[in-house]
Amino acid sequence: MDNYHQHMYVPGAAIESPKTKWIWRVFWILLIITTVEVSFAFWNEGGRHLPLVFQKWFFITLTLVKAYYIVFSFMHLGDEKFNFKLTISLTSVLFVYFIVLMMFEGHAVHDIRLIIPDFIIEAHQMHGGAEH
Amino acid sequence: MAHTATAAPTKGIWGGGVAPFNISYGKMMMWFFLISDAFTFATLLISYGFSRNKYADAWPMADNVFTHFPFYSGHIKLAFVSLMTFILIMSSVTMVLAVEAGHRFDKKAVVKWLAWTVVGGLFFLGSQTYEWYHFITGTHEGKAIEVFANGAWSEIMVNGANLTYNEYGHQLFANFFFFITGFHGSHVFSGVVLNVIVLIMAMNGTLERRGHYEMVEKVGLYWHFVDLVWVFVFTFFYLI
Repeated sequence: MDNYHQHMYVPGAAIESPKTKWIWRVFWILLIITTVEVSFAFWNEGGRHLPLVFQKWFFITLTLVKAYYIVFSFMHLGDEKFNFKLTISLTSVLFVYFIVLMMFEGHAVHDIRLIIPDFIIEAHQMHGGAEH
Repeated sequence: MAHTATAAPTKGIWGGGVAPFNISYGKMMMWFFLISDAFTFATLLISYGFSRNKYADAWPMADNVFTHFPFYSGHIKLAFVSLMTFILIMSSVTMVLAVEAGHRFDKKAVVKWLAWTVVGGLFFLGSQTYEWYHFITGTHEGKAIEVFANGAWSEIMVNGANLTYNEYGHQLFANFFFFITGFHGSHVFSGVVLNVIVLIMAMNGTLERRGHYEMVEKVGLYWHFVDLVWVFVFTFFYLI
């Protein structure tokens, strides 16, 4: 038997009663965060009350909070050794960093197309730099 | 477990038979598979984030596109995606309840909660089919778009979206929708298949005879990952 299996099933042994309070606590947290996200999107539709930039960061932050609860509670990463937590979470955080990074990059490319005069873009397209 | 030979004490820490991080081989490999899977999802979301901002002027707002709701003839924003999110969170909860029951060797509870997880997964797949159907069919009015065929530009009326045209806006929006939700949907599908296999194993008593319910934990990890990806798709595709 492996050293990490703390105990094995003994036939006929009494079954303990379930301890599920923490599961439902995490469930309510996830549900409330999702409800907040959706109602915020309705309330601030098209940036009526607050700038859309703020809305983006707000949603990304709440998503990371949700991801933390799913990975550390539901997937039991919180019970693993510290170095294993690092192995998984550092890698995953870099994904989100890169998504946000490329959102900024796309925004910059969009703005640069507004600054460059049209005839330069057209000349570029005529020489095979096809767009769209 | 029968197949793991106990390491002789003389072999030392590099001689095998040692569990790194004190985590079982199967679970650790599942974690590493999930990380590698996350790479694929991340590339899709990274390129989505780039294109969405680059073509911001022609990009449709997702909550203006997906407004259908079953048994309701009007249009309602975000409601159906929120329902899908709720279904997936709920099935994640039933999965974690199955894992908890496995820790207590409660065969009946494992079977019950795994079965509910399968039901949740099937509901989610059905919802996705509904969403794809409405996106592909499109609005009644349709939209006139310019197409280049036989050496000349002409205007045609299109309804809905596919990989060649998109009535709602930029073509990449449709492509990303099909690729991201399609890739996620195929993960949900394989997750349901794995859950059914483990459900049958639990029902037959295979896991009980094995002495532990680690198989439930392993498919549980995969299932939670699918839920986790949906949380990100929900934010980056539908909300932002």
